[in-house]
Amino acid sequence: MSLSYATLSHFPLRIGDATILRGILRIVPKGSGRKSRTSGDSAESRGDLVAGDGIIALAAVADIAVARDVTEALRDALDRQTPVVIDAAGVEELSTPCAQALASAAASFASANVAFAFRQPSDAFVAAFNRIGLFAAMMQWTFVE
Amino acid sequence: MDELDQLRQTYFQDCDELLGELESALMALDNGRADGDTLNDAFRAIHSIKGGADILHFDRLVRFAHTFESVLDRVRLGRLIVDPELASLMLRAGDAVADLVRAAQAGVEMPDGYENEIADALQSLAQAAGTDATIAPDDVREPAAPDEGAAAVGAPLRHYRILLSPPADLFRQGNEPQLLVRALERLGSVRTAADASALPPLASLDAEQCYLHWTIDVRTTAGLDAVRDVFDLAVDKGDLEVVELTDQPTGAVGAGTQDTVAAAVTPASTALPSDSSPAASPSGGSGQGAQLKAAPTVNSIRVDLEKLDYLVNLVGELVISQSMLAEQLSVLPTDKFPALSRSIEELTQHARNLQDGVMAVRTQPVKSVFARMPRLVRDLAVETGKNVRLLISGETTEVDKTVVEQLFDPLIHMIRNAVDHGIESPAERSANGKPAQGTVRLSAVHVGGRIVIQVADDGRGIDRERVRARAVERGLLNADAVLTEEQLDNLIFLPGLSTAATVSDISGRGVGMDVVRRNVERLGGRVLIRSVAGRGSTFYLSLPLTLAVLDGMVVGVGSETYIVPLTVIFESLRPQARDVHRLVGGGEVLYVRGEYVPLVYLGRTFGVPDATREPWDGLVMLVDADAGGKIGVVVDEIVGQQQVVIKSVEANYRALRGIAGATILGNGHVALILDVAGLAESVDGAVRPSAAA
Repeated sequence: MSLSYATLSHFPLRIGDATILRGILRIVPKGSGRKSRTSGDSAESRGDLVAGDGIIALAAVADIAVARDVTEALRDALDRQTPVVIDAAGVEELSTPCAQALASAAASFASANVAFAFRQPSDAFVAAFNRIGLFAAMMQWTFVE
Repeated sequence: MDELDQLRQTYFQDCDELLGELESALMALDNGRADGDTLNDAFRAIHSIKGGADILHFDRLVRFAHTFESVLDRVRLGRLIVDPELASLMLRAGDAVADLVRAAQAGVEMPDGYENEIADALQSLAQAAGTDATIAPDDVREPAAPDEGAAAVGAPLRHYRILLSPPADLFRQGNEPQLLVRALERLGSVRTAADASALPPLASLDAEQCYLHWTIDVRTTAGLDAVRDVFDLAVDKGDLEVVELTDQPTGAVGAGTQDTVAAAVTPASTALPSDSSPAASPSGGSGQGAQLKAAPTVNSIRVDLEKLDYLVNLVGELVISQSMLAEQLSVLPTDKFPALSRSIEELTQHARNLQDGVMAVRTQPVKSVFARMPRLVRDLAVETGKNVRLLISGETTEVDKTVVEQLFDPLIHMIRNAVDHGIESPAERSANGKPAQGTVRLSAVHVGGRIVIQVADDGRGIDRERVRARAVERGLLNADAVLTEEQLDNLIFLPGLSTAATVSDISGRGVGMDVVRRNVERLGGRVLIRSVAGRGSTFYLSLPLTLAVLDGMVVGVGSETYIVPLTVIFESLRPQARDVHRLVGGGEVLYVRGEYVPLVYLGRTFGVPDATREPWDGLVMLVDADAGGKIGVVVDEIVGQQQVVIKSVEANYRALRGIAGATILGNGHVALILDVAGLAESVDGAVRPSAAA
């Protein structure tokens, strides 16, 4: 599925901007204590919530435990005013708590004028937002290649 | 327990109730007492079972329930007439559903093809009744396909609007709204809009809390019940409003393309916590929609039994603490502390009220058990070739949940006994001038602090000579023993005694009634029989309303304290030495008003060294040991009457003969609660001499 409606105009920065990428890389560096703490037992044991290389990759099964972890990671990023890209390519199931957390994050990042974007949302990701009734809200977000 | 486990647990709890409702409705159909409501009850039950099974992926159960549902729907539409054959088939189908539910619960598979014969029969009926009913025949043996399910092909398209305002802990309870939307999608087309106006900023977001409210529009040919049923498992009624819209929706989630939906949910409503814009839910809709905004009221909540038991336990501890406080107060001069004394009295009253209140939460009507008996009687009647009707009364009588659960087996035995042994064949009844149809009456009533359940039949009554002969033949009774009618009747409770001419699956193995008595006595209850030859027998089952507290008489034996359940005490007396007689071979009896009563010395039984040696130095409590039996319990003194909290000795140590449990007294000491029936067994076994010579 292609998402041609990515509204990059709302995104103050552009992919390829080295500053942003360095910022993204600082969110959850590989091997940091954060990974084990935020991933917790449920996510880390599945190896699904991989938060490495600076981009937060959503787990294949983004359940309530993932929602907790993502919320915490995003909260920290926002505290540091660090831009975030959510990689949603591997999502097979997106829980409502997770969708709700992303919706809250999108609004909070926008209010703080900190970049927040999604990358390669899977069909399941989009379908979940449709089913939850947050499809229109999702369409206002920024999507990057 | 993970979220799915929680959902499964809730589903199977619901299934217990739904299967009971289904069976009651099917029995009414079988009896020809069915009306539209009965059919709707049956349909609703099976539809709810199917809906939950669908969410949990119990596909085999879904397929069968779907088939069954299609037949029920045709009956509901008047396309099928319920004759005895169909009623019987539907009862079997109900059994099959119950078996499939139990198999799913146990995580096992029923044998291949187990339900096929019934499913084929149901499918044939459904097909014969026309193809334009609720479910297309081709679909009958297949899993519910999206956009079909309970939707009626050819029926007018209806538009329902669902306002869902779930509690904040929706997710913590293991519920996932998307599953509900998916289930709705099986009924028809669905448009969902979330109101995210309550969603807080990330800084204060609790990821496990639900901040969203939903407005869901469903266009389907299914009925209102089918739409509501989707939410049965996950949402309290108070959190849900479903209405059928007669006009075209003009709000956010009207019919149309996805783009229409997308446009309807404004970004402002979705997230920005600082934005005070109104909710995204339809605002310009009909007046009907506007009325739905009224705050819903929640009439009931589901509480985990463990939490309730914890509460009961805490209240029990509180009662014990209160008793201790009262005991401490009793050593103080009351005139010096009048306010303290009054406060303690009030505390006592409040603690008692609190205890009653908490215990009342655990009560359930006996209906859940009674409702399963009509089916039993029907099957027994078919099996024995007898014509029997069952009359039920008092099914709303409430009793502690634990007691309700324990009632099932004794009742089954007694009803089997009544139909198999009591009720005569139609020919025999006619020959004796009775109506060919026998009657079994099952009733429940509160008497004092107990529930009394009666199972009465108008059959032949207990054949006492035959019972006696069989007991002598089995070596259970001396041939020359002199017994009253009551004692003869009570012989049927002896293990191994059966007077049935042939052993059947129903009864007659002699393992039923003794088990009934033991189980009932274990619950602190009693069984009594009244039988009149040629006119029938009545079994009385008397049980405590709760197994957590007990009204007891505190008695002293030497330095020890025991509790005698108040309900078993007839009287207490100080005997004359001349009324106490020693028996040859050991044992003593007390002569009381023309009756010899065996004596049990608590001091000797439990090895209390400083106990009273002679009854005339202490007291004798005449107690009801079991049906028709009376014994005299010798104690040193009666301390007083008190409600005590029962603690299990068996669970904490091991079962002890003559001891039903333990409690903690106000002075902090542990007192044992007597099992009077167990004590009586220590006298001389099952049959005691008690008739005056």
